[in-house]
Amino acid sequence: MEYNIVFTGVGGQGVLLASQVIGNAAFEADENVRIGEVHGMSQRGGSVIAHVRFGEDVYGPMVPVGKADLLVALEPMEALRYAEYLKEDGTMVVNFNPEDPLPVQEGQAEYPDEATLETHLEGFGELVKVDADALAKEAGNRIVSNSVMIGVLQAVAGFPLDEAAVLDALKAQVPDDALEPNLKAFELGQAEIDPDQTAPVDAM
Amino acid sequence: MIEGTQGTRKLLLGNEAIARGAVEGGVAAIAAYPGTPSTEIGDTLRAEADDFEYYMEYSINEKTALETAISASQSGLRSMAIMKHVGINVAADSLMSLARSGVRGGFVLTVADDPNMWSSQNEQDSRQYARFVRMPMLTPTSPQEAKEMTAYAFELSEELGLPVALRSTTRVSHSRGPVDFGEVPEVDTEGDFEKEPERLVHIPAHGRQLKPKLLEKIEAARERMEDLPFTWVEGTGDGEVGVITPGMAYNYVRESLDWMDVDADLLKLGTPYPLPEAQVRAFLESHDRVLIVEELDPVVEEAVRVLAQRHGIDVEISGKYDEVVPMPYELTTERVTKSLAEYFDVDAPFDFEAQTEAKAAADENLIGRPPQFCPGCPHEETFDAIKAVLGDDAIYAGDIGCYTLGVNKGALDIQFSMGAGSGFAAGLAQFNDEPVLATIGDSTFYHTGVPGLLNAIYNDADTTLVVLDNRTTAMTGQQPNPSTGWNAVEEETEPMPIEDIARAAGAPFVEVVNPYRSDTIEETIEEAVATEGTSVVVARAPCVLFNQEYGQQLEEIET
Repeated sequence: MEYNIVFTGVGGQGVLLASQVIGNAAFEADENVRIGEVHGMSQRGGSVIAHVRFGEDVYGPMVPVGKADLLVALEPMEALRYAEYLKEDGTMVVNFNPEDPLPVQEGQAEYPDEATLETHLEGFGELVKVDADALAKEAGNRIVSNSVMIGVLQAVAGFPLDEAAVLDALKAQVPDDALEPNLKAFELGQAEIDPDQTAPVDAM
Repeated sequence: MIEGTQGTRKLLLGNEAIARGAVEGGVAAIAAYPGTPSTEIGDTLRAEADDFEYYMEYSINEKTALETAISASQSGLRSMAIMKHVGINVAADSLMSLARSGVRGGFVLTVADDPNMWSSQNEQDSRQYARFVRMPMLTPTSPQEAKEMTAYAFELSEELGLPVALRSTTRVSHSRGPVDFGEVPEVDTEGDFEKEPERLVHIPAHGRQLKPKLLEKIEAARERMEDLPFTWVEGTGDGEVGVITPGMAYNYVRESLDWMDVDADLLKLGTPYPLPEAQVRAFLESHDRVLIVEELDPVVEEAVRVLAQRHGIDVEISGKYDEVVPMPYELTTERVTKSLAEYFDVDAPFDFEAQTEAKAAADENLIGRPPQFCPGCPHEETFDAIKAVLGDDAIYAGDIGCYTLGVNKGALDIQFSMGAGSGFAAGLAQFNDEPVLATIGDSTFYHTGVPGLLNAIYNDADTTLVVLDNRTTAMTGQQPNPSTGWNAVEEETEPMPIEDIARAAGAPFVEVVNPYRSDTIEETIEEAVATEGTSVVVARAPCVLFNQEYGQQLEEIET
């Protein structure tokens, strides 16, 4: 058995933190775990990817192209950038709130429209759109959108770790004074997924 | 993170696992120069220095780090030098002599390579140094193995009387995995240097005596590698095809074979040098075809081909030379799977081609996110001032650090290696009419920038060196350096002003400016460029991230 997740987003969105929460949850559940991270220059304001794999037959730290069960993206263009990692029947949960890259901010490029992104993304697997930023605000702070996404992914059909394991890992990872909005964010994220199927409860 | 009793199990970063391995190996002295992907090894050991007995320093550069660690070893202490792959180039001169002298206390050179150049100027393969220096090397495949190998390397070094290298790569250093803790021995940091000039003074007469001794030792090491616990054979093959794989590549081969459901024997090597010849020979003799899968250079493949030729072994060898395995960049499971599918003549387990095609169409919508200066970065102000004064009418030499981002400002025309900017500033000025200006950071200035400045002044080069002094080694995560005011273990030190060094060396123009004051900095740069001879401008303001983290400990200067 193995379960593979690719986390993506923009530096500062908490991609590494989210990957470590899930990695730690799997570790505490006695799974063999590997996390692959990007450090150094590639981190500053750039595109970030982290790989989390767990199960019996896990070797290297990177999820191979075509083997990810889940792609968790904190930003839609970053979902597309790494969409090839998904396996054929894989699921991608995407916080559909664009973060403009520098060339867009400077007017040298245009951010692709939502429909185009969606069409391409759907070619790689089942797309679950989430407005994690809005839910994070509802939970008390936009910065906890990564915890919204952790809640969403935990509720996706077939995700092998139970709620308690993920919640314990989340609690261990965030500072005490930030616990409340993170836990609320997790709950709101979970509620986005209908327990009987992967599709979101209501389209955004 | 690395504190804990025997039996503790933690999810550790590869670099943290190496740090734990060092303390389990009884390390008494550690010297490091930070550099991705090796940085967190030193950072971890520094942060946890209070919990253990060892001496820890960030050195000025990799050569001094190596020399600190050699000093400890020759004083009978177990020691470790830590650096990134290109750091060995800086340390190489003393490293060659070290192998010839041999060690007293176990000596481990920990080096982290960066295949794919995630944060480096090249992807040189440090395993070539193992062969070149004649230094046994261990190459881990996971955080757990990295910890075990590190601790083991100290024993091995003492047993063989040779330095032993632990060579990690980005994917070992920056991956997390479960690590089981072992025992941490008591450590004494009191050395006892013994005078042995025949072994430690490398005059030619001694060098001639030492060479055959080294050759003997490395033959003994070759024998010893037959018993390495990190080398094994696995698989269910029928003896037709075998795969030899060292280091990280083992993971990709293992996963690929399982994914494709192919049966083959696997010789997983814990060392690329020296090869356990009896084991490799037995593997070659028991298979018709053997494929070598390794990352970067064909180091193991060449040794295997030589071995087969020497013993007249009838086996078909494949690898990089017949282009079954790609030479450049890091390997991944999908790259190895494509190679193995071709080699075993089976279908790939996934339609990579269709996926690549779909991705290529999607990629047209992607916009890059190149690295940028952090908001408020003083370096950006300095580059804007330089460009305001000189525009495109100058040749710009540069260096390695956050300020390499000056390339996006059109203020970087040549940049090779640590400290090279000041060397180029002098050289380019001797052969060109337009103004030559070089930029360099504080840590890089102390590292290898000083000789270039001295050379410029001595040879009267008409050039300007701008030192972007943010008082920390920012690029790798805020390590202290001689500009900061404290050392690795946070003991206070007297900051070593760059302007004092330049003045002492006799530079005809030396000024310190605040990069946030655009009028004064532009005026100063203009004056510096107009002054005949070597001018030095120190643009000093603390790194904004450093001050966020350390609570504004570094103050801006009045100018």
